[in-house]
Amino acid sequence: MAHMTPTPVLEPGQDRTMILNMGPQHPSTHGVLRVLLEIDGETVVRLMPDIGYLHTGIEKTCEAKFYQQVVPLTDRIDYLCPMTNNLRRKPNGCECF
Amino acid sequence: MPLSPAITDLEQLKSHPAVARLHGWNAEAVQQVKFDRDEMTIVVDRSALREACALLREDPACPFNFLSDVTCVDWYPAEPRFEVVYHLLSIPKKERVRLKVRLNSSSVTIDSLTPIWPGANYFEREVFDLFGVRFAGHPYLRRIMMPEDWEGHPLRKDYPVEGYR
Repeated sequence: MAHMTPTPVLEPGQDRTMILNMGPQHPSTHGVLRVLLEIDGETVVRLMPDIGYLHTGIEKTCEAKFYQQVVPLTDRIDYLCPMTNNLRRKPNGCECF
Repeated sequence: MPLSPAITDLEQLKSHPAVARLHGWNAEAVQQVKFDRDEMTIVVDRSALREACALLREDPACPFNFLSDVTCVDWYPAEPRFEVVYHLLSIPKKERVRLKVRLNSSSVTIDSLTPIWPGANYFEREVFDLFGVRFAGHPYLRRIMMPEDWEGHPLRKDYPVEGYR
């Protein structure tokens, strides 16, 4: 239910083009992305990205937590650089070093 | 190091290019100015927003040619409830300014800035999706993060953290 396929929003502009659904997963995207492509042979004419698959609603989760409880959550914002996200959420004016 | 206090006096802040430009154009449109933590914030009247942005973008002295962020704050249950926030950057002059527009919960509609900065398109879709602010004149105002059949706008403060169940 969470990700019912929406009605395709791209209509083929000409007889030559077709709609191709790429995703919701693709190894090269390093995350989950879905792209609706309108293609003419091997040429992409238009595309419509669907970027919501990585949206976790972390801001909403943080609304009901104490500051200290939020820090471990910041690890999950970007699993490739968790430390960066931990550090930049230090309290304003706090001396870390 | 203690922070220096915020400056909210319009006369002192007129040296900033964006304040000078907007105040010179229409003093009514500038509701409030604040310079705090080295950041300039201008509260703009809702009806003047699009013209003000077009003016700032084309300002020959300091063109704010880059819209770096659009976001929103929900002050529920206070009124005006929503504050839509625009962060502008002038790449040639290395100046930044933050514009805010306050919206009452009775009318959460604001002019879209997509005709001025095409990059506003996705930002405004996100604000619409998560806060339910309507952007008049947006070419494709549909949900971007949440599924198409989602009900409600999750980042509103009266939306339960666990969702509606």
